[in-house]
Amino acid sequence: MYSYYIRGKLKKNVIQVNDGDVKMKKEWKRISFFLMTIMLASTLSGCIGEKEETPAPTTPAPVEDIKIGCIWPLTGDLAAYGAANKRALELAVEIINNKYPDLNLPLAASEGLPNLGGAKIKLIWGDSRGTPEEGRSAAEYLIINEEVVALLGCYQSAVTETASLPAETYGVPFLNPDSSSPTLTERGYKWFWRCTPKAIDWTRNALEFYTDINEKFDANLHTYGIFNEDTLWGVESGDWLEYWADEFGFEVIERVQYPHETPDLSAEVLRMKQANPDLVHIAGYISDSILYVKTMKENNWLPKMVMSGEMIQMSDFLDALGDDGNYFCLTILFPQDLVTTKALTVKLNEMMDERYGKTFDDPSARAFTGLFVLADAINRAGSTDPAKINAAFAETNIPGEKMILPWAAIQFDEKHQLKAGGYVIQQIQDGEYYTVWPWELATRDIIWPMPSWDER
Amino acid sequence: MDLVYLILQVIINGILIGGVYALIAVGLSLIWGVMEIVNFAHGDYLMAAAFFSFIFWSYMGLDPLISLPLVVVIFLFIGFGTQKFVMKRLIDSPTLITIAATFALSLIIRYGFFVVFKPDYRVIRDPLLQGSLHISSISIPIAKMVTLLIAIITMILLFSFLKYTKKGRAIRATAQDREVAKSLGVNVEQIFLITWGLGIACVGIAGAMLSTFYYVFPLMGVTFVLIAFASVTLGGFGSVHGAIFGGLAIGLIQQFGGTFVSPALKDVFVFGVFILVLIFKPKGFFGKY
Repeated sequence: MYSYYIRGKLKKNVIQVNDGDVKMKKEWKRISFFLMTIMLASTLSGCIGEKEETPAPTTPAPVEDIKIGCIWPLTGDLAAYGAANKRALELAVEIINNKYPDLNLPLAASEGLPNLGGAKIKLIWGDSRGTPEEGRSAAEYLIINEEVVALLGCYQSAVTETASLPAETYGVPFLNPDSSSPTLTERGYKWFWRCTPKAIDWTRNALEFYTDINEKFDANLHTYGIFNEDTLWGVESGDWLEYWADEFGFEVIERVQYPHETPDLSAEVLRMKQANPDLVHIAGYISDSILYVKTMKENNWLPKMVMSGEMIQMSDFLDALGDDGNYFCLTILFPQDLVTTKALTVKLNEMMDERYGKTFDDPSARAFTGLFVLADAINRAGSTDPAKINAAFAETNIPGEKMILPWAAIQFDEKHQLKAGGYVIQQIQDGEYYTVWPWELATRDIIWPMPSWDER
Repeated sequence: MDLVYLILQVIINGILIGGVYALIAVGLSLIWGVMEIVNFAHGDYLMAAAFFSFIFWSYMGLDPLISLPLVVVIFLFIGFGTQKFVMKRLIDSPTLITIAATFALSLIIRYGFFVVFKPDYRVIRDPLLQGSLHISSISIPIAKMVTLLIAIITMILLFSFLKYTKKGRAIRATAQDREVAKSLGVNVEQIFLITWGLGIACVGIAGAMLSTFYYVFPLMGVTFVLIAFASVTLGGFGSVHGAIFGGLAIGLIQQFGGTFVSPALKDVFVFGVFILVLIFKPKGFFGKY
């Protein structure tokens, strides 16, 4: 469409020049400049697609490979998540396709999927570029052109929402391991499954934590501020934070909804500083979280506590902020300090470190788990028939000891939502992440309130 | 914070970020004004400059303020190189071709850095410019303040060059009418070379200074360049004054709209004004055409 437009514009330009009307030529150039400026946002948001396949197994596959479509932001401003998940999934494929009897993971002891004659898993990658439109296009491409058996992705709720539409239309199972918007499993989709908790859970946990803080420290916390980005995940997270704040007796005195990918957050922080709540929650991605911390420091302002989500567990956060990142809290599913007491997690972290020089974080641990859940369902289905895979999903029951995440089990409810899975609260202290709540799981006492910038 | 202090803070925030937008927009406007080339790669040069500052800091321990002259010289030559090896051959080509060329440059630079540096967020820690000045309840971030000062100095130097030097006058003459300038003996090809050098050096300064208070990331240019394009539109095509005016105006509109109405709507205000300017003042405030 874009190229057609330009071509049409050029023709008009040429006509004007031929007519000798130089003024009109300039006019067309000016108008094209205006329109190009407007279109820049969409055209420059990421322009390299990636359709990369994992390396083929060294030995010939006894039966046809099982193609799984993976959609994550491999380019764009959230590419760091895509890169982390890609590493984790490549490791998962290696474990499933080869024998790792010492790892207590589903399908690790066998080579490939035993119920399908040892068929190997093959990942076909689609790049969402972090946008819902690209996510949907990638899903369509993977279903129609690559004929994938199932889809996995996409991290951002807004992308998962659109990418799961073609899956529903074409009847292809879609497993989402890492989006928390409650709406996703409320749509009544037949082919959509989610093996991660919803925003309802972590937002409630955050408010339960502050209720406990009030009891423990007699802190008299009452006022609450929310920063949330303006895509599906941010908006719904903000809504649920407001809901639970009200339920637990807190008052939301400022809610700042801001454009994702904004280059400056001065106005947002100034509004929050003006309201000066006791507590602030950031429902934003890692780039926003980094910028918020820097802008709060510039304004020499901090509330008694700032909490964010698992995105600030990514190494980029502390790499970027150093000591300024200390004392922030986060809700998290994959607390490194707790899960590394589990032998399986320690071994998997070693394998990741050996291959990529990085260990698991929350998003990559969830993506890793997602592929095992999907492979387990396909194997139990004993077929690539979508209906059989869907039926197998409903019967999923992976015990806690067979996964990297610290959950009791993976089972789905009637809405295809993970039944259980809890968050803990961590605090960054001395550049490390420590679990501080629930109190009985704490590996360190919380430092409360967080010290002001001057006290550091 | 009292309302008066709040308004003062908003004005300061608007001018500080507006100065950055202006510095980015100046180079864009200069290149457009002289050669009528829309440089789609402008934001990526900005990102590359921030990465150069980061590299000097990371590998040689040079603070971005210290390495700034080096970055400026490097980007001056990168600008020369862009003209000499890429744009020179396309100067009389249809607009579509130059757009495609700068778009291709944009992708090459962006994803070149993407591949080499991975999609990781980097921040220059403990730069010379850190902390804020606190006057009563008003905060002025030192890094942004110095960036504004450097932007002002850059613009004064650029104006002086364009107005008082022979080459500057030749650039302005070429911008007014390339053919007439050529017939009067102006070496137009050399003027194009200088213009690309100056334009990219300006965005190099912006990128280097941005690295003192913003994260460095392969896609960081995209968000800024959109604002730069809007700044050029508001100020008027081909006008360096206009680009400065546009940058500052957008900074202030964003801050006032974001603080007093809603941050979710701050870009709506910016592009709302953008549309109004298109309707009522299509040449922009200082535009030539």
